[in-house]
Amino acid sequence: MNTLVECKDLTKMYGTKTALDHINLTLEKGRIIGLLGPNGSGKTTLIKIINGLLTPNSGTLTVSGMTPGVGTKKIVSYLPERTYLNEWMKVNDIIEFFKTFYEDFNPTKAYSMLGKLGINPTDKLKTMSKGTKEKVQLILVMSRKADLYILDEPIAGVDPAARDYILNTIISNYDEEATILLSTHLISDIENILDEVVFIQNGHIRLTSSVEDLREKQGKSIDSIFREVFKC
Amino acid sequence: MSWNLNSDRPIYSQIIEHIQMDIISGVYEPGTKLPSVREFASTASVNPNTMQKALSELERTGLIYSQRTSGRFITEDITMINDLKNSLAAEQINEFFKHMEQLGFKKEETIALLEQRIKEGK
Amino acid sequence: MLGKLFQAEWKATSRWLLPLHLILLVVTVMGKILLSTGLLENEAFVALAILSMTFYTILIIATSIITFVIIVVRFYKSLFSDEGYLTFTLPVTTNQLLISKIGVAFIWCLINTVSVILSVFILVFNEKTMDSIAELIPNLNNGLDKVLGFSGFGGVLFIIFYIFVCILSAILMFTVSICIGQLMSKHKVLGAILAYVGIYMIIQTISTVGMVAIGSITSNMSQISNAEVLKVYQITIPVSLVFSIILSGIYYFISKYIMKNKLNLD
Repeated sequence: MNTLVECKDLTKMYGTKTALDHINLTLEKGRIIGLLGPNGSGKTTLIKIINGLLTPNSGTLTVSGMTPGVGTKKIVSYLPERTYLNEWMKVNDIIEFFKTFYEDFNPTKAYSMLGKLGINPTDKLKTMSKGTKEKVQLILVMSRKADLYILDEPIAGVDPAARDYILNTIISNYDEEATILLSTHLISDIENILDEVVFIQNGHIRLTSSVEDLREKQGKSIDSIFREVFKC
Repeated sequence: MSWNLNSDRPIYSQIIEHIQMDIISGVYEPGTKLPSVREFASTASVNPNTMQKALSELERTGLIYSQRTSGRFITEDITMINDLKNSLAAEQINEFFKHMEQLGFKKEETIALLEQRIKEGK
Repeated sequence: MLGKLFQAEWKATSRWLLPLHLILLVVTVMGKILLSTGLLENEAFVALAILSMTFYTILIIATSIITFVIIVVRFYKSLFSDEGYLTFTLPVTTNQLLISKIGVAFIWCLINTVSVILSVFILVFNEKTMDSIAELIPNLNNGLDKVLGFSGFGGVLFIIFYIFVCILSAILMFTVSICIGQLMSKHKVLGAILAYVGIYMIIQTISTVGMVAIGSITSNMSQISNAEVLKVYQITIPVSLVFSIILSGIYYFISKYIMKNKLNLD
């Protein structure tokens, strides 16, 4: 069984607005997948449902055969778009926290990655720049040995050098048994690290394909294809 | 350090070309051990599966061979490397002549230009 | 997991509340020393006496308010601000989240109540206190017996239990108000406050109606005597206790339902 995430007829509405419209989607193991779409396309809604932060109106979504809940939270490592850690905590405190609640968390790996960046473990989060905070959050998320990593806009608002670092961290943490789902606007920066893309718009899946297939067939970059597909 | 890969074309073929160049130009000497797939992918900033596909293709052509526990190595077959060098050179030459033709030069004119250029010095 | 959540919750709240109560302790000790010098009884230092009394009263009130505020803010922030993304993706159940937070809030309310009582007691205590208490106890016992139907150790336990239920019910009331406020798409804090006020008014109405009902059922209103008033209390107290317990249960289940099924973080 190579399927990790399976959506069948997944629908979510906010009042009268349909955020996800009977979505059918499969995500396989061992892939780095780009979830691409304009604002309001349903990306965030889908990600929240996978993480158990939102309940769908109808349809099903399973991760490793389980409906989102305690079981899936153990195997999904989520990097949201915002600073979601308590700012008064020191890096040490946060690592302790992750170690306490996540069995698959590897503190040694986290400390090693932090060390390479010169981040002091006794520093408090609130003394750090935005870019450094993002790196810390990424390191924590990637230091878990999860089955599914969900990274929501991991490189937005971050300088190019930090972007390279983040992308290389993602590549070096690649695991054949795990899947990485990347949601982003900055397509040209990340398209070389993707296996597959999922284009989503207005709650519908517009396209799913392997990245190399698209390049071969259309002779264009994913960035160009995106602009065509989602032309305003 | 990125490899200047063009997102308009399949990446895996560009990886193959890049590695071939490195082999021919001597950056990778025959018999050199290559980095692991993940390290290599990280260096090139590409997807590991794509890197794997490129390396497998190179293995198929024999330019690279793998030893189960030790990893991947550049072939020591100098003949093969030279053959590759020659075929790539041939490609370059064909491309050159094609471009010169597009500019309006016939083959003899192109050769004359080349000779003159060489006489004048590098 | 529950234990781990308790610990994390404790760490996050004691950061503020422990120093706060230590300050109370230090001020109490300082106040005791000041009192024992007899300085404040000297007419020349009347101003100082008034000042220190005022300061102390404000401090006591402040510790209680600050305790309440910190508990509420902690609850809101950890669940419904950006930190909610961390909290709700932990591999724990909604019940575990609620119980750990309510549990720690409860403990701090207790610590606060006990600290305040102790502080006042320490300041007030002198040679005559123990005698006064010795005189008071039989009277209290008598009163408890008449009202509750049992006294002594059982009576004290009952009162403590009653207080516990009140504290728990109060905590759950703001818990459910915050959760109800979350149902609105905008102005969630305002929604929470409105929910709290709304619930409060409903409870008050029910209580008043209940009291009147009980009063009119159990006695003839034209004959208001001590015995009649007592009868009313004998019924009201257990009824309000049961009412509070049921309410707490309702608040809990509504909170859990909202957190589990109606969650929508920004």
